[in-house]
Amino acid sequence: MNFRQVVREPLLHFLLIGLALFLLYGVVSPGDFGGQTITVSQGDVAELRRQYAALWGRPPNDKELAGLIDARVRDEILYREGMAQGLGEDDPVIKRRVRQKVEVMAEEEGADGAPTDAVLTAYLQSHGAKFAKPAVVSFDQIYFDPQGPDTPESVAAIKARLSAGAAATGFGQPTMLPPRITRSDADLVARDFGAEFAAAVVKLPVGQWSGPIESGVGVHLIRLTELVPPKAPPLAEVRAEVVREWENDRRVKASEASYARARARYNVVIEGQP
Amino acid sequence: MNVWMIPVRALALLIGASLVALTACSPAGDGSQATANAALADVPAANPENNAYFGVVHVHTGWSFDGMTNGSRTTPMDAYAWAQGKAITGSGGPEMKLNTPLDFYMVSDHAELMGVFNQMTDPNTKIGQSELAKRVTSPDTNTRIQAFADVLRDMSTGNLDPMLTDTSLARTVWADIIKAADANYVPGKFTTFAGFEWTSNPNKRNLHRVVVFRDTAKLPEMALSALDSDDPESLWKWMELQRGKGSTLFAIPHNGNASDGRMFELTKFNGKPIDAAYNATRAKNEPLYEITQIKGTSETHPDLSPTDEFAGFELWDYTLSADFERPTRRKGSYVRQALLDGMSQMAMGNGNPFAYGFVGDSDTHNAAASHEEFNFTGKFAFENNPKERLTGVPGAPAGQIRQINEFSSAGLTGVWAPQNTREAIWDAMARKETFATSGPMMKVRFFGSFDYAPGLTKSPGFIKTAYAKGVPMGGDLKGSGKAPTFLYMAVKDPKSGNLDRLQIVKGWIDAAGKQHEKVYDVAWSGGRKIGADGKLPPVGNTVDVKTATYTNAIGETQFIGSWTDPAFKASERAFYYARVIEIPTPRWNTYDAARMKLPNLKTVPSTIQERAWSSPIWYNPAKRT
Repeated sequence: MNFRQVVREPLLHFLLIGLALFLLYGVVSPGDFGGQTITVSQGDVAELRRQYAALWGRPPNDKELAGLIDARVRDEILYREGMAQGLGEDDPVIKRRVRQKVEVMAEEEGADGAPTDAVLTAYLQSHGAKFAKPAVVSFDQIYFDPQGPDTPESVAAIKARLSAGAAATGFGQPTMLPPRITRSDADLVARDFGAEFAAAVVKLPVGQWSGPIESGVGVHLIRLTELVPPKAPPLAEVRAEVVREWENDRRVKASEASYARARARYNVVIEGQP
Repeated sequence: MNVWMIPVRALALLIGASLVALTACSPAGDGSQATANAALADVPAANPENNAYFGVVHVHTGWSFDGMTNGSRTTPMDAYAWAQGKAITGSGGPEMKLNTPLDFYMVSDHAELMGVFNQMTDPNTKIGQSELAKRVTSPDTNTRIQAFADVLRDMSTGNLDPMLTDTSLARTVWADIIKAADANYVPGKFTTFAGFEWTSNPNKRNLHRVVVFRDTAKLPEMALSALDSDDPESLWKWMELQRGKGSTLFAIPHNGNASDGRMFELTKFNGKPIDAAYNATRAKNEPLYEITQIKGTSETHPDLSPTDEFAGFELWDYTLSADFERPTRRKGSYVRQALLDGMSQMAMGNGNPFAYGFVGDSDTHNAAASHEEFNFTGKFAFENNPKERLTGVPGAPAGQIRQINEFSSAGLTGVWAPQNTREAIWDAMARKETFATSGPMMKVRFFGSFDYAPGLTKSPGFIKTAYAKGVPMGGDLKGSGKAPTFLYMAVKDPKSGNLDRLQIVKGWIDAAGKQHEKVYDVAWSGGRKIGADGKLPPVGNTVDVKTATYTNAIGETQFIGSWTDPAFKASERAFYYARVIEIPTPRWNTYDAARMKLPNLKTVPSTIQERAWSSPIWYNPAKRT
């Protein structure tokens, strides 16, 4: 067999390729030839014990501890087997997880401490509607079922009697809606009676019988007894909310800016589109 | 906000579940925030006749493993902001905002794979000044990535810096969830709870439970994960252990419809028949059942209740298997049958394991419960894209698209409580004075007694008498007599459809031990007459599917009255609950199709008759002496 023949020998090619792979493997996984050792350290075992104790109020017995260690080893072996078969590649769950890690890190960029009161006050002023306190109302109401016996005329007559000082009992029909609403936010009134009703109530004169006013459930005579108008609260009253919203805003902006920078480094080709 | 919370949050997510080992820590939550909020708030006086409050306690955020992997970027803080009517980031789609704020809310992220991390709350501490802390907070992204990588490597080799496992510094994601609940609790106005979901899935059968704590003063260091054991009895054992340590808690199971008969099976997890001890433990730990949520309604199935024409409501007939497997067992999957089986257990002398009150809930995985049909934002974040929730993520299998189309908009829980505080709302839930709705804020009251006078609901202030002489929903009738009378009241949600009818569902066990059920129509709109077949004719339908609109030209705004059981036998145990049905309104897909000018779905209905269920009232014959 001469040199030419040797060089063309398929067995030699096979051996050379094998050697190259072997060397390459050594380079990419230093110190862990074959990856066949799973070490559960004393520290790991101590943590398994501690975790169990935190949950059940006592340390695991020997059998339970052996079960915990077995589960840990099984996790690790099957994880390595799966990774070796390339099951981690192009997995949408893993992709999302990694993407989330990058996004979370991006969100922390430029986070330089708690916002000052000046920053928060400016944020509060520029986002006033977000933090506005709704009007607060107290009122008495008498309910008339649209399918009930009362007519517009009889309701008007009842209103006249109430306005002349009659007690507000014995009129209208029974209802689950409370006869007296005390210091309720206007948005809660909207929930129980409907949005149009709530908008109408805050415009009524205080201290006299008004209506009839239509709600989502029927018709009502109303005596508004107290009205605290909506207000823009000072920072001290809504500080926690403003910090939360400001921080959320900051996170969103940081994340978007970071993505924009990364995006600029890529040439994206969408096939089938010019 | 402390500057240190920010990098620590990142650390939590990056290290995630792998840091589960770092769990020994001081008890989470001290309730101090709640106390501070209470001092600020003007808590209205307790109403002895109780007010209706609406909310949900089954909400996931991006902090749940499957919330995150499905694209949710939301946090518990986002969830609480949403429930209070604030617009929040709409991972996967537009911003999310509800129309009418809720009264109470609880984030219940999965305990499984709940990440654990160190909360370096004080930059003046030793850890705050450490080399690691400097690298973690470095402005250079690569330095931070390397720092996290080093921590991960140290953990996997067991060489973690002891400073990181220092019990006085260690805090968990669980602690952060509690913190978000405390920060948002405003007694009198908005109630939050600490809780989590225990996610037992044996063979893809849904045995999930949401655990709700009454306060945050005494909480466990860790939430229990079902990765250790799938057996609900191990959860109850753990709950009892927490009671011994001063916690007050209950668990709420859900989605029996996805359990293939296992949720209410008459055997224990190990296959042995349930017994008195099991039944007592289950009843003690689980007063309530989630009768409706995004993954369907599990009141009853047409196979179980063939004569109930409203039985086929928003069924989601799948297991949790990824291949869209259909369950085959109806018994054990639906709560009406469970109420009957529970009474049969009682008749055998074993006590009742299934004396469930009803709640409606969400199971969103994107912070927003999404119970408003006209404002549905989906279960998972990608469904917040209206096109994807209608026609599916491009390339998704047809079975998955169909499962998503069959998701309901969320349900809602109503509670009758004296005021809006943690204690008052939790206690009302524990005594089952609750009702469930399929989403709208309709209100339902239901009382029962042998001693109510005729025409009681026509006298002013009758609620006081109703309590004094009888029991509210969730209770057991006291004494016995010729026949019990039930008071019912229902008022519509002003934002939703009028009411079609109010029914009373009765289940009973006869002398031979046979189970029976019957649905009585007791109040309805429009002067309809019950036909020769015993059925009330349908209320009609005003929905214009093309424009997704309807009118309230049909239906009633409220029903108030009383009903006496015409077939009562003092020797037969029975349950009664009220079911209130709205007129047809557009289903969420109809709103989506109209808004996007896309064809509506053919696989799901275009309209829905939203409804509410009161918790049952039970009658148990007195023991013969």
